[in-house]
Amino acid sequence: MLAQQLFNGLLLGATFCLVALGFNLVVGAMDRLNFALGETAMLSAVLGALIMTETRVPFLVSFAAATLIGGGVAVAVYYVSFRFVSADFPTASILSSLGCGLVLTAAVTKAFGSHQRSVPDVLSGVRLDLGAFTVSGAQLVILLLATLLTAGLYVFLERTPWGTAIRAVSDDATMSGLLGVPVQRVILLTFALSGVLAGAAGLLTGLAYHSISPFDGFTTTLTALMIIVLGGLGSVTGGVLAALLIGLIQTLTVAYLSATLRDLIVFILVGIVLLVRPQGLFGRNAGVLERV
Amino acid sequence: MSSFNEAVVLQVGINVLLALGYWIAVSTGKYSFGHTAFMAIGAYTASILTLNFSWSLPLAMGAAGVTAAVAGALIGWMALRLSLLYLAIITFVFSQLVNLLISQWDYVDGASGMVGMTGTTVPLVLGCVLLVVGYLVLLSRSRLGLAHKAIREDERAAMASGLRITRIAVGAFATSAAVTGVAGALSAHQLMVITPELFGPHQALVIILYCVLGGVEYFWGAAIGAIVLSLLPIYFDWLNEWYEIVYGLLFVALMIVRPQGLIGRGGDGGIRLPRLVPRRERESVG
Repeated sequence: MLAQQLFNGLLLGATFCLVALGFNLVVGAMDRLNFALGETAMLSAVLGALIMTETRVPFLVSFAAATLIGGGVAVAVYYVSFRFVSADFPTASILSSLGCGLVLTAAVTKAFGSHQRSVPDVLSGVRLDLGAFTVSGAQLVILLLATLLTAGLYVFLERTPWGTAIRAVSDDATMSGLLGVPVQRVILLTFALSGVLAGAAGLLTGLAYHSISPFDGFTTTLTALMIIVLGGLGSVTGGVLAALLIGLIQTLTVAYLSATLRDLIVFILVGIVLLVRPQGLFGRNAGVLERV
Repeated sequence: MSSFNEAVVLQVGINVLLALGYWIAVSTGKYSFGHTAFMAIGAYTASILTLNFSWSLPLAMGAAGVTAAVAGALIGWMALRLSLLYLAIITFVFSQLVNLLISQWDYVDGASGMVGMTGTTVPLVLGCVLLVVGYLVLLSRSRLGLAHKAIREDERAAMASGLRITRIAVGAFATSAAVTGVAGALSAHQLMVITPELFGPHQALVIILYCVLGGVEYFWGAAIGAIVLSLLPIYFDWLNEWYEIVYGLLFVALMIVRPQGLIGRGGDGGIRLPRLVPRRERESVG
């Protein structure tokens, strides 16, 4: 029982991790938060589920479609809420992306209704029995895709020229620009990547719960915020660890305490972390108060 | 006054109070993304007092203001030392926390809400607005108001000039929370029914929009923003259906064209069109 819950928790954490990575990429490149990312995830998930139920294409095709839609929406949000918004007003892009999120949620409810949308199961015949716990086909797919995307992102950031450029821009945008890095294009790339991750996370979370609600977007943003505060703003490793931790805490709370306490315990944990270690549990830079 | 006009005046008056309360926090440059938490605290405190302890409304409003101020001071003390991004996150989380706690609290009927508060009258609302406007007029002519402005414009310079910026900012935040709490109490006794959902993120965004639409430089900018935005949906019915889309787009358009709000100067004055090629990628601080 405990082993099963631990596994479920890690699985939940793996999907959280994707959105949190998306947030962290953008924070790294621009020092600004894209508050519409949760809604981006929701929109891609709803469209992905719609494609799957309407056209009966294999899951992987609709998954690819969801990631592409996520990337596209994130790029659109970049142009609307970041590119043409003055950097002199730090709140401007926060408010603007919150507004984008409102519009996305309202547009989805207007176009497709506000009901919960079911996500068809995948690999429903598969069931791995590993002694202490069992893994269903859907869980296997989630685990594989989430791991693949996280590992792929890591390799991309560490081993490719564009990944190096992203890290350079998060380190010092002015200096990278002077050294010939096309900063605007790199920022655009980080937004597209964050959207791809959000789209993937949205559909995978939908698969885990077998349903998607158009009002999930905001919850996703909230969870991702908890994760990046806990893991340290802009820290990729911290984000991954914090996502797994929050996934575990939420699952164990629901399993052994009560479903209503799920968010409460995470909120309290985050509050304590903000008071005691504002740079996050895994953040290294103690100068975060100066920097952010 | 017809009951329709009365309802309009009450609604607009309460929204103006919310905007002015929010403006007090913003006048020090500290944006909260969870001011509905204080509204909820005020609304529930006052409702419990009038319903279960049969206090009179003005007395209960006072208590609501004090409770909200205490909560505001606590959150401000926690969050205002941190930078804008963290302040945004922590206030946001706080409002979610308050919402969650209220919806779990059986004494106030949890998510189904409290029913039966009455007694908000036009003189009471207008009196509160006048009181707050009076305070703000005095504030903007006082050294404290100047200190707020200094902190908003440049925190480091303010600190270097000997201002105790954390104390001033926390004070402003608590005052802001108090006004918001009183507005919450009034709105609870006008709506006659309150549920935690009323104090959700949408309401928080609307309060911010009141302020940023009018501009954060002068308090009457916030008041005008509140008046305009509360009258629009009343007199344009079709807006109700498109409410969220219109408000969302308003945010987006406003931030591109006039991030400093309709009223107020933005650096060199006049309407600046955004540059197609931004001048610099990122401002390095420190």
